[in-house]
Amino acid sequence: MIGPILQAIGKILLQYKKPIIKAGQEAVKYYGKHHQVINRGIKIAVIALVQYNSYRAQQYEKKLQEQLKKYRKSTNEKFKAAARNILNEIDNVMEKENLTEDEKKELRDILARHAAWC
Amino acid sequence: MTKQIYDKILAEGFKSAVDKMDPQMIFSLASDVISSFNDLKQMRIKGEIILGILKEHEQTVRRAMEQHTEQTNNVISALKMLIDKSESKEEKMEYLRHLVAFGSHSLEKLHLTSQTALNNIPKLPGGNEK
Repeated sequence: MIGPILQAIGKILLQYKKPIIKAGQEAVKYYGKHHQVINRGIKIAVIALVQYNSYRAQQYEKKLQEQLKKYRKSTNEKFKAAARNILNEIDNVMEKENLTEDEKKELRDILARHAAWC
Repeated sequence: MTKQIYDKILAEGFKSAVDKMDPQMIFSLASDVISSFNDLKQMRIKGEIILGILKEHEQTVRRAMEQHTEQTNNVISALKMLIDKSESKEEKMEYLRHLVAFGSHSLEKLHLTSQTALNNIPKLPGGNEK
């Protein structure tokens, strides 16, 4: 499949052999004359590429950190919801009974220490 | 201009251009580029590993929570039945005390489980995701 493409490229190269050689020669001459500037340009391009890759790595890390933070929060919330369900279940049982305020207080005091967490 | 002279000029031009290249600089730049691509690749691999661990962690948390809820609900149901069938107020109150004591114990266990689960969430080296 790639054969005909290479053949076509070869044909074009042969067809424009002279202008290509001329352009190459000009490029070499140009590099000889401006090599310092070109080298500096290459250096800048490499620094930019390295910086860009570093930025991509940082962005990826940031995304991961956010995902972990979100997961931590949702896990904590799930546990809290499960705890609230237990408290509600117990509350429902207590509400059905004809308890005095003192009795209710006595029972709720036992569960009160968990309120800070749930 | 004959072909030989033309080729000679071209070859000299190339030589002069190549002479002006700094091999140390080229090596150093290439090394920087490869190293930056490798860092990026490593970060992605690390990310994939962490996401895999997170998935496993999520399943473990779900299973632990399901088991805890099921066991707690079973005990609460049993105590509820005993409360319903109690014949005296004292007996009822006694079972209610058992219920809240069990509830407190169950909540304490759940809290401990949550702490363990949160502490086992994978961390990125040098990260502050807390």
